[in-house]
Amino acid sequence: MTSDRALVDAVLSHAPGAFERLVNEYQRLCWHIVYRLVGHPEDAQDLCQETFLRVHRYLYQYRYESALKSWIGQIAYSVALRHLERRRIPLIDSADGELPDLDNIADAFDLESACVNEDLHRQVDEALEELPPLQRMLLTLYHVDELSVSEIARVTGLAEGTIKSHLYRTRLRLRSMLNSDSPDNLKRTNP
Amino acid sequence: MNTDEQEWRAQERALSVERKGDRPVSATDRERQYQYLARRIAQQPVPTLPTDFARHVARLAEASRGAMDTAELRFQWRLIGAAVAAMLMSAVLISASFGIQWLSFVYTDNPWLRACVMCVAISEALKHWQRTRPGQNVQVSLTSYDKLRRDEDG
Repeated sequence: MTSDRALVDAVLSHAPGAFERLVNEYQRLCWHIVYRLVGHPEDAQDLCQETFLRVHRYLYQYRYESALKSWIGQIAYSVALRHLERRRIPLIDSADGELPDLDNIADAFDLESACVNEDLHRQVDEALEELPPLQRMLLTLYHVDELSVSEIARVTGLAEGTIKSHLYRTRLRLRSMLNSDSPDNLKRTNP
Repeated sequence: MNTDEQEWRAQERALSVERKGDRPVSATDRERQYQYLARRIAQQPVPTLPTDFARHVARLAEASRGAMDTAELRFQWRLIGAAVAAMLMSAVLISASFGIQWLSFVYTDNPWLRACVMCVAISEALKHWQRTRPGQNVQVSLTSYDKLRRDEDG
C-alpha cells in the first residue's frame, strides 16, 4: 500500500515517467482480465488502453480503500464487461449443465507422461479457450496472477462463494475431460 | 457453495504443490490430475501486450491531459468573458434607468474603492517584482519528461 501511495502521488504530481511505471506495473493483470473476458487480442489491447486512460483520468478519485491493483482491476473488468454487453456476448454459459459425477471420474493418471504429451496439452488448451469468458478469467486470475478469492471478489464484485463455485466447477469439468478424452497411455497401466 | 469439500481441498492442495514446485508430486491420482491442470493453466500460451505498450499509453495520457487542460482553460475564459459582458450590460441598463449618478462613487472619497485600488496595485507590483528579480528572467527550462520525449522522438 505504501508503494501504491508513492506511485499514485508521483502520477498525480506529474512526475516524469511515473504513469509509464504504473502501466508497467499493472498491465499484466489488466491484460489477463480483459483478454480472458474478450478473447480477441486486438480488441483486448484497445480495451487495456482505454482502461489505463481512465485510470489516468480518474486517479485523483482513488481513496486507498483497496489495493491499487484491485482498483485498476475493477476498471479493467467494467471496461471489458461493457464491451461484451455491446457485442451481446454472454459472460457465463446459460446452459451450464450438470456437474460430472465424482464417482464416475477415473482416478488413474500418470503425471509425468501427461506432462510430455503434446496431444493432451492441446486438448486442455482448447478446452480452456472454450470456457465461458467469466470462468476463463477467474481461472487465470486465481492460478496465474495468484489473486486470492477475496481479491477477485473486490475486482469483479461477485460474492466469494460464487467465485469458489465457478473455480470448483471449471476445474472439475476439466478433470473429467482429462479422463474421458485422454489417450489410454495417460492412464496408469497397472502391472 | 455447491461443492464437494474433499474435491475442493484436492484442487487447492494440488495448486499449492504445483506453485511450490515440491517433489514428490501430489499424493493421490486425483491431486496429480489437478496438478497437471494447474501446470497447464499456468503454461497456456497466451498473446501478450506489445513491449512498448506502457510507453505508448503514457504518451497518449499525457497528450489527452494537455488537450483537457486547454479545453478547461478555454472554458474558464468563456465564463470570465460572459461574466464581464453581463456586468457591462447591467451597467448600461442601470445607467439608462437611473442616470449616471451611481458612478459618483468613483470620484467621491470612497474608502472601499481606495482599498480595492491598493490591493490591485500591490498585486501588480508583486507580479512585476517576481518577473524582474535576478535569476527569474531566464527561460523556464523544460521538464525532464519533455526532454525524455524529445530525445526519444529526435
